[in-house]
Amino acid sequence: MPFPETPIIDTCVRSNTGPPPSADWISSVDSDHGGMKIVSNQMAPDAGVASAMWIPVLTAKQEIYFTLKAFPSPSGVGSFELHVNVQNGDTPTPSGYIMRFWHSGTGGAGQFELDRNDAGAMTRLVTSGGLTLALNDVCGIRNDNGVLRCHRNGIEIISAPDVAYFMAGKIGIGTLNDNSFLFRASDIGGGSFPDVRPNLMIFPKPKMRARVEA
Amino acid sequence: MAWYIAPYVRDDVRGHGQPSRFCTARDGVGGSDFYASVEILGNYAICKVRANQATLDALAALPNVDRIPKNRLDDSLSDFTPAQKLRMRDIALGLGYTLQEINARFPNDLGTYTLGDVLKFLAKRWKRPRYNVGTDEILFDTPPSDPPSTVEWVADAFS
Repeated sequence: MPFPETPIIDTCVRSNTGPPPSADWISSVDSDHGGMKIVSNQMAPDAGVASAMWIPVLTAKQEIYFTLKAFPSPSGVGSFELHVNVQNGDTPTPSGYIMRFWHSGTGGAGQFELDRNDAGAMTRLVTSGGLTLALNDVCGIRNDNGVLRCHRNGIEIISAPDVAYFMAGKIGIGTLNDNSFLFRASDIGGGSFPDVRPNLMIFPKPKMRARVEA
Repeated sequence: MAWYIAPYVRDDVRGHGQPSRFCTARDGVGGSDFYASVEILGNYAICKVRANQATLDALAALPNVDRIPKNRLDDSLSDFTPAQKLRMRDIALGLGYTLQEINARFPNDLGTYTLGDVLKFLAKRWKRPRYNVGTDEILFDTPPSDPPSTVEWVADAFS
């Protein structure tokens, strides 16, 4: 299945504003976080830990993606994050799934990770091997009928089955970083799909590599 | 290829100032290995791993990890030793199943059942974790529910 398949919902091309970055977003996925804002036609964090949540509720099979416009600095340690199936968003105890790219402080190198957030208790579902991202990489996550699939430039990097939050919810984007972490995104896309099949036994065949080579 | 019953452990390095948990068997696999799992009761997971023999042996040696010496769900447990059968029972008890439940599901000698019978029983229930900010603990006091994945899905993930 190609990735992405949903339209761009925010080009981020507008005057500096936020947080939130527009009336279509709310700050934030976790109300303990800071918000995201628009800086020079790109989405950027307004705090070390920041996020924004797309306001519409989407059906269970959903995706979100963005184009990477700026990198962590070489000394930075942190991550960017994409959220799907968010429940209880904009509270201190949201739940759902998180795709993270962890930057290890060595240029753009790091690894992807899929987590499930149970109201603040994170469970690491799967982690990729080492990867080096490039500017304009398109990174995203889809909940594909209960299988979380993490993509980079249309290629599936990691996946994991989990139906704990295979239900209608919201999508979001954010960062978790120290002060040297620089994250900029544009062309944020996402949406939901009509063919929801909430039956674990008819899931598409998984690609179940716990770690992959870069 | 091998099956394991492996615990989750806490990781405070990653997360929003909140704890993360990961399965020790998952963290022990290498870049070219295959791993799939289903979370079960007791803060454990049933894991299937395809890796070289050294990695499989290393995973089996991790603390609180049990390797199940069978590969396919329809593999019979008829050659299990009495000690192995007792260990399987003790694993189920340790995860939180009662002796009554175990005896009701396996009224006959465990050797008359298959790997799939036992693993599916161990994956009957799951408790969603939650984080208690006040005590800084990951707790498993939520009502039991179906696990977020299935043994069949893990078995079919790779061969």
